[in-house]
Amino acid sequence: MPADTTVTSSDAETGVRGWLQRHLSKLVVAPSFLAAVIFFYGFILWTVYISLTGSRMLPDYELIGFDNYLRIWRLSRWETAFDNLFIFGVLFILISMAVGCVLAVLLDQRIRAEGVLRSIYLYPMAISYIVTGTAWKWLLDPGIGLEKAMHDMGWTSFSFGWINDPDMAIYTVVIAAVWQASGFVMAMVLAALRGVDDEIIKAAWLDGASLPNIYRRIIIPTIRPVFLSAFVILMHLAIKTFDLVMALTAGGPGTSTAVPATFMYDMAFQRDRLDFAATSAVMMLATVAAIIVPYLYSEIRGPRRG
Amino acid sequence: MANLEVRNVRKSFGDTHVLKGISLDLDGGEFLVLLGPSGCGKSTLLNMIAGLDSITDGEIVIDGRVVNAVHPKNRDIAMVFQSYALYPNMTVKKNIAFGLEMRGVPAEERERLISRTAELLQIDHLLGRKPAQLSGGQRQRVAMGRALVRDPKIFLFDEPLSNLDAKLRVDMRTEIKKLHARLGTTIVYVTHDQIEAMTLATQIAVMRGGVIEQLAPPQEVYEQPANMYVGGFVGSPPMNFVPATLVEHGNGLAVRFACTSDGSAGDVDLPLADPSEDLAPWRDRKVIFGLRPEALTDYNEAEASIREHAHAFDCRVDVLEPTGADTLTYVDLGGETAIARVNPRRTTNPGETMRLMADMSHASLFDPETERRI
Ligand SMILES: Nc1ncnc2c1ncn2[C@@H]1O[C@H](COP(=O)(O)OP(=O)(O)O)[C@@H](O)[C@H]1O
Ligand SMILES: [Mg+2]
Repeated sequence: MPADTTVTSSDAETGVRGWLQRHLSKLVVAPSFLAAVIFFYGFILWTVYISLTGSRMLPDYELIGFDNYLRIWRLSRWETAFDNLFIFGVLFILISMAVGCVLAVLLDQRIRAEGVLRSIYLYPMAISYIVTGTAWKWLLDPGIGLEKAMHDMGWTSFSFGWINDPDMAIYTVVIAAVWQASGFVMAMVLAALRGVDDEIIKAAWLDGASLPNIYRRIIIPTIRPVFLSAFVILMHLAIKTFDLVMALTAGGPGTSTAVPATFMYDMAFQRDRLDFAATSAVMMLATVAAIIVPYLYSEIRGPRRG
Repeated sequence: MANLEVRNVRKSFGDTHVLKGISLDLDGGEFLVLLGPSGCGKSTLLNMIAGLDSITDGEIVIDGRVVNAVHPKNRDIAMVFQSYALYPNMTVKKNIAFGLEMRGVPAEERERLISRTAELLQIDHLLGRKPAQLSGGQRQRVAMGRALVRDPKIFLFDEPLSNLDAKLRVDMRTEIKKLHARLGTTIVYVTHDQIEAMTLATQIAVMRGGVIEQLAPPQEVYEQPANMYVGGFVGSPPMNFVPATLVEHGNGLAVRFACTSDGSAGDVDLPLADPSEDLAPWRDRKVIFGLRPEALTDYNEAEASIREHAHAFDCRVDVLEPTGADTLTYVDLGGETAIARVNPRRTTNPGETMRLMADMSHASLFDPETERRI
């Protein structure tokens, strides 16, 4: 009878094969899950622990409390790194957002060759920071880059030596980073602008709104979540910035373009101060977490946008 | 109340000609329905009336003034969109207020107008909500409120009910009709639903491929379609089209077509109700005989004796489709399928022969070449 067959086959599924079938997906995911737990969260905890010790070149597991978090502020190099992060972060985020938005609004006017332009603006994002940094190092080098090109063209009084000027070098990092990231902001904002229903804009025209009013009162508030996403992404990029600085200025001239990430690297691998390296790493993590956790929380738990 | 005139308006996007010369003249207070399948240019025409789309050629005239170059906001037109197009970042109240605010209406006046409109549409309790928190029917009402509050000269509706479920659609249809009766504003309403068009319109413009096929009051469109396309598009089920020949019959004319009854093929002659002079050239030529399903019914002696132009004939039944009120009975007339509306108590089984009655006072004749009404 057919009913009997069904019973036998479901009996078989309670055996080893059945168990495997039910748990296969978990088994497949387990190794990478384990790796994530150990290498991300395990080492985060290890770093936090080290930041509470007096480790030098090698880890020392004797706890000394929160001393490092106070002493680090007395280092002028950390202070430079912190100031630079502030200058760089604020300028990088503001300029990237502004340039990205302007490009997006311009591209949104349905101009010709839009596809080509969009790709051109977006390509920098696909390049590694090392390449960006190296390319801009050459471009900004007075001996071989922009300045030389201007001199060759006959404009001999032209001078642009920011990259060698301790006071101005951090702004060259901003230039390179903005070049890299504003296309990405443009892509995000453009996608959001395109997502605004055409009929909404038509309705606003009929309601008597002017174009600036339509952007200010309707489009921008409608796509506000995108600005928040772009801000969060740029912010964590800014805090993590390491390779760009290494390739462009290597933190110099002197220590004038040091940022927290290069500070951490120097302390760990050049100055034999694992304790300060771990401390700065934890402070960076805390800053990123302070931004991303509320954001993720509001994205996941917040009311659905319809 | 404003009259609206569209003079030979054309619209092309590059080489695609979307509107190919549209003309219509609408008195103040009329309810014009643009009826046609999707892609025939209805929305394009509406957008041009609103000023949201440029006019390739022709003129649009509101209250005697050519408005081709007038900015949409100065045309005093309000529009309800298919997607409702509510501003997602604003509450219902702000949505309704936005147009007033942009036009510089003072705050107290705004409050008064909003509460009056909200009351009219029964959306007072929704004023504090965002569009995302509303159901489809509620959004629809808010979209209408936003249009109504400004008391414009002309209302444009672009398929406003097509996103609602069937029950709500019927309710809102009635409400729009009541609103029009109450406000008396000129309305241009786009739909592809012929029932909506029939119930709402004072004038219907049936469109196809960027031209108006017929512009007439609903009853005229229904009873005297200008061509076979209109007859087939309006009415559900559509008009029957029977290939026939016009023959002499007594001192009048009749349509003759083939029909099988009692197992043998034969011809049926149905005399025309008013064999006018114009039909003389068509004698002994092929025509298309159009008859609405409700003019083709089961034979009923009492009724046949009252109706002067009712004529009976026998025909084999192919298929039965009960709808409740009537049973749609499929028969073969002149080689084409025709549908008769039969009283459910008087149906005949498929394959058997039944006596039908055609009310020839509702007959239409079409030219088989041009498909136009003769
Ligand atoms: N911006 C445009 N560019 C090219 N073709 C268009 C454009 N807008 C509409 N069309 C074409 O015009 C025709 C009519 O469109 P529309 O007025 O929206 O039809 P309907 O509202 O009757 O469904 C469609 O075939 C559509 O493809
Ligand atoms: Mg449309």
